[in-house]
Amino acid sequence: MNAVKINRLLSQAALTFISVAILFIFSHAGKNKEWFQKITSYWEDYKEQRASTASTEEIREERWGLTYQICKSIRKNIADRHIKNPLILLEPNSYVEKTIGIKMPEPVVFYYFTGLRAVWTNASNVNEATHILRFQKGGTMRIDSIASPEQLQQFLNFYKPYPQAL
Amino acid sequence: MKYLLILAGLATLHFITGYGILNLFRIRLKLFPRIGLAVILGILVASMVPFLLQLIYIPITAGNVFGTLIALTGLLNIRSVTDLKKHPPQWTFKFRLRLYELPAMLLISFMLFVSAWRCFYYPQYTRDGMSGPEPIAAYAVREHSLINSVFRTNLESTNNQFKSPFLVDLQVIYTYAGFPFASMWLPLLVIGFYIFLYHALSERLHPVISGLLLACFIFTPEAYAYTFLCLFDYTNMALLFLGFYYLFRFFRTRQLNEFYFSALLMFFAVFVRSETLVLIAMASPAMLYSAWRTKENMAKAVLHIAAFLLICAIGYLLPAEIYNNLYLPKGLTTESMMNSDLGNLQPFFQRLSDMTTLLMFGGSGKTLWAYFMQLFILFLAAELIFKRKLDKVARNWLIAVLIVYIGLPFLGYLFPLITLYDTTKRGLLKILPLMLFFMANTQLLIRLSEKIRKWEEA
Repeated sequence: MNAVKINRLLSQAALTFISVAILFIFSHAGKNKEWFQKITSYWEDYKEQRASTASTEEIREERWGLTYQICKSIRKNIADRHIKNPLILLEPNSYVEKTIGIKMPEPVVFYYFTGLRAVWTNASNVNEATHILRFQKGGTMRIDSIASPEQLQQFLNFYKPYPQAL
Repeated sequence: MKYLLILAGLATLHFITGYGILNLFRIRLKLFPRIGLAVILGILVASMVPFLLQLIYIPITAGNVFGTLIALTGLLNIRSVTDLKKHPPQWTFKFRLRLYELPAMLLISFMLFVSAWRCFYYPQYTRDGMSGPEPIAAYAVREHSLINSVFRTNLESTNNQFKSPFLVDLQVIYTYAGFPFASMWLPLLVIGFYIFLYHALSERLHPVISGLLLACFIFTPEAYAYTFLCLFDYTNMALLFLGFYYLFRFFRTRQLNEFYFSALLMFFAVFVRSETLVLIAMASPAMLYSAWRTKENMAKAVLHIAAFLLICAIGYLLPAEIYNNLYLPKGLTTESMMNSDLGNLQPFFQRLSDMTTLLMFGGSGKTLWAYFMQLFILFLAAELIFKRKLDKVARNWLIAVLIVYIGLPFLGYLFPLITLYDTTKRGLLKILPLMLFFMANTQLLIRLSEKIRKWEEA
């Protein structure tokens, strides 16, 4: 190997070393360190998930959390009771959050999760609601039919102080 | 393994589609950036297929979607085939990777890999996706129509059903292809973009500097997050950058094929996010100035610029005006979203100030962009102090940065629905590759690259 080639190899090695050093310092500087640790934790997630036998449905439950599981149980409840085409009135999230500490998805996401149509209390077609989904302290859930427009109005009056929110 | 094969198949299909477009526009590139850009273009073409089928009321079935996509790919490659007959390709391919390129490449590859895995493993999670594109795509697969039962639910809490069909279309295609969660087109696009960026940076810079700059780019937490959060903004950022890249090439070469290729990329950028049209329109004075500087026939130049803007405007008109208002059950006119008090400029200055102080450099700045914005300011200041004159190409990129910097608050002023912490924040992704290429074209880095090259060769 002639001297020119050796020189080139040495300069390449030096540049490699410089590059590694800069990248190391950069990835450990200030905010970058904390953030890069998060990215490396994704690698740990990858190894765990790669070995996992979780089904697609279980992954959905993990990702979308408790609200998705609640939505699934609502879907099952409605199917078990053979209720056809319900339009479910959802309690305002400020109320649900106060009662059981979670938020329910907005109507379009609720439809995505359950295949069931829903409305918020401030929706323009709220008077078409056929059922109401209610949560009680302790986490129990009830789906009741709305017997009359007067009963619907009573529900709406009750929820009036609670603003609707995502 | 099954999913890897499906992904390879789709990537090949996208590549062939994009390859046809590159040949149609006579865009010459080295092998790797060619592959990267072709895959991006192929994904963009695919992202219009279910939408175009819907416009002519053809059911969105797997057969119709893939049949149309394959037919389109064939049509786009007629020129490639005739070219192949005239000039058989010479398959000499020199792959030269130097040791010093590896550290940055390995780091970036690692980060892109974990991001791609998250895209594959997890379902869509963002609110903007879940309250529009995702349910529409899921029910489109079941009901064979983009205008499906989702539109019979109460949609008063969202306007995401009115966003471009780009995301719905790709989710439909990848669901039909067999993915449990259909976001795998995003890693393909991101990888294609990084390959292109690396090669474009290396046109003027030493590969070590290109790699380090690219590492700075990937170390922007907000932009990195959108490599696996499947939304519109990352694609929009990539396309706007690519559009500017070819526009600035045209400024130097005056080759019209590059000008219209830029128009095509900008068209796709507008198709993905319609408000991008405003930013592109803001670039038209730069186009005019470039024509004037090169002593071109101004009447001709104005006609070409008008054609450019018209092409981009089609990207807005098709989804935002025609589809939303003539096809969807309840339309959404652009006028209804516009600021009714345009005479009051205070919201523009307020947004400009909030964007600069809160999002770019203030409390959230480091969390969102790490040190990228500071690095840009450092390079800009250094270039102005030590060199006192900006390189022509660097100046072009700085103009592009300014267009986005002024354009985003202007959009917030035009459309009050554009919120600071959502739309404007994500809109800032667009400024990142423009800043990157400003830095890459500073005399400081170009001279440093030359010095490293000389030292290496000595």
